[in-house]
Amino acid sequence: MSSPVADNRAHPCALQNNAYLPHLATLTLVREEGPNLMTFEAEFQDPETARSFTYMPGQFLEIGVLGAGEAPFGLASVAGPGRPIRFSVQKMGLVTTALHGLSEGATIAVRGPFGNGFPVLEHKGKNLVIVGGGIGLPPLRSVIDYLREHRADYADITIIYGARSPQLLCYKDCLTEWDACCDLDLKLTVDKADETWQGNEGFVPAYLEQLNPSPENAVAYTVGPPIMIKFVLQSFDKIGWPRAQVFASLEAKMKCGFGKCGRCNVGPKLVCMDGPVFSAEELQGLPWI
Amino acid sequence: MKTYLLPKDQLNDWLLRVKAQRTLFAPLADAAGVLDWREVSDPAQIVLAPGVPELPLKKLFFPPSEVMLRFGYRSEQAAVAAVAPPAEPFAVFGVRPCDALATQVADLVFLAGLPDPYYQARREAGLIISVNCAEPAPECFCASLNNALTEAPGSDVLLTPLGEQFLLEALTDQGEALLAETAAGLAEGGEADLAAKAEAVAQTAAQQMRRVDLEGLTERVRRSYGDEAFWKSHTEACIGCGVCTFLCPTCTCFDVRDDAVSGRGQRFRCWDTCQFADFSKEASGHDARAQQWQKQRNRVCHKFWYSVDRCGVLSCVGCGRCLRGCAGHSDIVEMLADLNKEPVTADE
Repeated sequence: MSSPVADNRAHPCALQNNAYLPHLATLTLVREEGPNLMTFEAEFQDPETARSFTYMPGQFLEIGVLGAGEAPFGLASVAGPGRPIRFSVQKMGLVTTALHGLSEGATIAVRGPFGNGFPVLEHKGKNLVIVGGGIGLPPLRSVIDYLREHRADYADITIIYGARSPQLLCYKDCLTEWDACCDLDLKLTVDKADETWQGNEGFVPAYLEQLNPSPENAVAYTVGPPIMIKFVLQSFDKIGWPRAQVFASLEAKMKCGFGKCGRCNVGPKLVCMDGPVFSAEELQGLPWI
Repeated sequence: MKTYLLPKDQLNDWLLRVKAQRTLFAPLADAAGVLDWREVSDPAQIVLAPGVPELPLKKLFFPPSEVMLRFGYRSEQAAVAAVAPPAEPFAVFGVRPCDALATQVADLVFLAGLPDPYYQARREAGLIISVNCAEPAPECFCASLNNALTEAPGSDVLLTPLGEQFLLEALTDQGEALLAETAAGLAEGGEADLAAKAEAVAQTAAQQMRRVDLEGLTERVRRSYGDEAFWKSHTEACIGCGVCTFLCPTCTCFDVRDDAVSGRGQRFRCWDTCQFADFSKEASGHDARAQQWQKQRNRVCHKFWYSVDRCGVLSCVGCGRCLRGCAGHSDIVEMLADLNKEPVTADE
């Protein structure tokens, strides 16, 4: 059988630096993470790409299932030669449903990395307060794993994470490990507790205000649903944090990932190019929600 | 650069010499009389009407639909390859200066940062031959917005009608190369012809009936952002058809989709618009611009504010296609005139 793509004409312009052309990768791990939530790990098929592909925490990929399309997903892993890329996907639309239908060994098509990521290099020596909600944890896992790999470069690390119910907390194995380890402080909350839940009950922004972390030599990173981010930013205002010290990662519908397709703008900013990470100062006055 | 004088009755001969060098596109009427950019077989069929053709020039560089990749998707034979855009050299004749300027605006999106190789290949293959406007159409308002009439930025070659002849100027090296190959035997133009050109375009500018007050425009748009009543009152008649954006020569938003069957398929892009219901709606249902007035506000703010912030230019060139095409008779010039008229102070 002939190759499905053999009839393409070679064209130097289209084949060089074509940011629309994805890298193929093979799924090496497919795991059910929670209700409608799957975690995937994948390795690039091209050895050179596998060796050289790099990214920073908070950057995102356009991940595609050939034939179904592609969508942006935050990376949940830390870059390194030979390491797989990891991402988690909630079943929501066409592409996410197609991803949920894949098994280990299947091929996906990956472009990126795109976006700015969290400014972890600028924040060496700082106390980090990480605030996550629901499926906002995967991109924050990239941050947390990165900080732990460079633990000596950072001061205190506090993680405040919540979900609507105990069942919807993701990466439960990580949460167990982080809770047990002594190099960070994990604070969990759920909107509504059940009989299994021993921890805090309440919304993430309220819990943040109650914990009242000090802004002294500190920065905060937050990822979650837009409505949670809105109230988390308000809570940081209330507990006296300067907006320049609070960073949020936004989500937006995207097609290209690098500033061409035009749909991810919030006012004059493009989430794909200027974000997805913005300081609360930058978000002030922007129509992002 | 050298200028030439081309008698009007020799225009088609000159175009045939251009056509011998490159594929030639120009405004041609379809069966319904709609002017579209199509390949020219006989230059006599070219229609140079006042104002711009109905269809925007952007389609030659950024086609309404374009296959970007082909792939096989079954795991055992998954493969993906880029589809090359055609790179045969072409020239497009009859471009109005506003459309030529719009091409430069689109360049700021497609060629900045990581370039768009599909657009880039077509831009590099294409040469823009503009024809200055002897008279405006009722919708035209470029004169109050930009230097399109006076300097024709984005044009490689510019023709200005002066009585029974055209003043023929090369504005870029590529334009000069084209004239070197096609203008042999024509009389050279001089200072007097350039002066006559300046007078002619000044007359055309003076005849434009619509004007935008540029003074503090971006600041006035920015300040009106939160005025919900203003945006609602100006977009009541909007049916969300998106024609204002599809016809706009600087609107470049697109969708990317896969089309596949039986193990193989293609990834294509097509024009899309911020006016459509699902443009910015996420799979979760979240949409920061769910209402039609918010979508229209995004369009107007993009033209007169966001584009200025991002690229340093207005992304409206004053061609008037949006107001000519709108089923609800929305008029962007009137909308801008109604913006908050408070004087803009320096400390804001």
